[in-house]
Amino acid sequence: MIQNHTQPAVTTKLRAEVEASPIAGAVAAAAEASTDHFEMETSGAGLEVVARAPLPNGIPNRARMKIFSPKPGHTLVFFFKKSLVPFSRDRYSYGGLDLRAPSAEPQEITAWLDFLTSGFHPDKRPENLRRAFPYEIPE
Amino acid sequence: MKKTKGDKNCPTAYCHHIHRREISLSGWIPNFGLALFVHPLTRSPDHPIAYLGPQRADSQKGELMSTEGQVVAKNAAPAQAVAPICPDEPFIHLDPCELEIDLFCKGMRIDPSCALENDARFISRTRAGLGSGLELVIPGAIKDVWVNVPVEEDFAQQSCYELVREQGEYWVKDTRLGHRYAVRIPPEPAWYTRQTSRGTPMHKVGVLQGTYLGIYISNSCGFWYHSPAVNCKFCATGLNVGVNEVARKDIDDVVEVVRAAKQESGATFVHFNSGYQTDRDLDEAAPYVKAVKSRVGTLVGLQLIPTLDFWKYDRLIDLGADHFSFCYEFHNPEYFARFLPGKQQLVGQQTFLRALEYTAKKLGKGSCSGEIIAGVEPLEDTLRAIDYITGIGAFPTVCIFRPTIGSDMEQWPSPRYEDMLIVFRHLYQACRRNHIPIDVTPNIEVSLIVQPGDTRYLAPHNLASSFYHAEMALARWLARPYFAWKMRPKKITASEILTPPKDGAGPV
Repeated sequence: MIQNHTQPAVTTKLRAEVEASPIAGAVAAAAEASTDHFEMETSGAGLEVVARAPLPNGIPNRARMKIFSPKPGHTLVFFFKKSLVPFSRDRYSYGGLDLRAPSAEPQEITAWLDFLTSGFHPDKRPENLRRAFPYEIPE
Repeated sequence: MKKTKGDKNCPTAYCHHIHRREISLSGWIPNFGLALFVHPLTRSPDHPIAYLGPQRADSQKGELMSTEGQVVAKNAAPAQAVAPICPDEPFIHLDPCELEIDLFCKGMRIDPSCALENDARFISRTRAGLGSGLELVIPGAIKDVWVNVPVEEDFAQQSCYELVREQGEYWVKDTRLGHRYAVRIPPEPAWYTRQTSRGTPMHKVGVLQGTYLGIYISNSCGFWYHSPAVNCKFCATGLNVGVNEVARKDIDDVVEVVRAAKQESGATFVHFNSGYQTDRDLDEAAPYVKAVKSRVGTLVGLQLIPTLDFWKYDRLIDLGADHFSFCYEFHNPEYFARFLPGKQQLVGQQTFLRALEYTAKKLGKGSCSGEIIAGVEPLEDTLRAIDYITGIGAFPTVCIFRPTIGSDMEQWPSPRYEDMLIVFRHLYQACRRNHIPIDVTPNIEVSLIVQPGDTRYLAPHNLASSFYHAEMALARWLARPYFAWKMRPKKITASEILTPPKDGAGPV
């Protein structure tokens, strides 16, 4: 479920991102239907999904996913963590996906969310994840 | 936990250098080359920090290395049992090297009182990922110790160490008993925020890691692009290059950044490294070496995937290369194969060792280094590696394993302080026994590792240590004019296009 989905800013952000990318809409729907807890960021480019449930070892889950469409029909999915250092704007990439199709299979999206929920555990990497993903994560 | 006092009277400073003959106090002529190092990995169950907060990362992941009752190398150093963890024993004030080791093992939290946005270098995960920590300096009587403290990894969030700022001064506070240590935060160089004349942000070309400039020269490591990927399990290079760094460094950009680092930050050494480049690694590095040596004039080190075409090393030396380092990471072949699949399948451990032996012999004692990771393979293998490296006249660059954020081994626990203390005490003794020059080259402080020179704090108080320190002090003094000469721009006539010798000699 998306914990902050009732906030007006989230609604506005979701509407804009779904218009830009059907994949973003599918991800938002899957996150909302999931039993795991997520939040949506309202600032920045693209749709940014944040995992909210702590990891099994008690550590906060820092995993984030961003769906960004540089142009129609082309979607980039970034998996990353933000820096813990207060002043740092650094992001730590865990790879990404370069999608040229207008949509993604539901099981693919489920795998992305599972990867997110696991805190990017290596055993949960999506099948087509490109770990060396040389794109700047859009802010 | 026992406290080892440092030798407060030792006048020498760090290592890294070298001359091509044995150092002795009678009749030696120094013929210095240069030397340096770096890299990451480990395991262990819980540190004393475990009872201070949530459980650390999965302690079941490091199953290969037993942490109980280990002994050190059988045929080199005297055997020592690993000290048991005594969480109830009061913690004693640590010397700068001990604190450095413990910070590498446990990481550090950052208190909101800190104003790092004004006071610190920005943090960026570059190269293999080791430099993702916070740079700080621990002042000491023998020398100041530079350390890149893990702050981004999850284990650091459970650390007993916390960086605090009080009345404008920074302290590392040990929350177990309230000890605190004065530290300095090195400021961000002005050139970090500038661009080269081509418009490239300078910090995306090279970064200071301690006092030296590190530059990842070429496109990402080929191991990451194999299918399946054969990247080293501790490494995050493939995740960084092109994201946090410019993927391919332009030579003019590199020259500008090296010049800025030399003129504004006092950098004396630039360290080029790259990932796997399909046996073209040395060829691709050559133009950078020539450009820096001829247009700026600093000491230059290379950390590249090795080759058995040893003539290429000869050509790079002709171009001005002062130092080679070889990251073979694990001495135990089983660990080498398991954690370094690309190096195992496409290079081979023996290639690293033979290239190290060749260049160490060619450039002289202390000019080259073998780089290993402590905390993953059994302790006795790490100690054996140190004995091997120092035995061939190279200096050991021992990285304390860091479960770097994003790497395959991110879930592994970081090493135990007690184990690492054994490693670095052994390292000191091995360097001393083999007369490896330490802290001789001017102003090379590497924050990513515990430098051999740092281990002088761990030296026993005896005649042998005093004699060794005196040797190094003399070497450093005698080497000054040599290094001053080495750091002037030189006219280099050798070609940056590496061609084999005319006699057609193949691999040695």
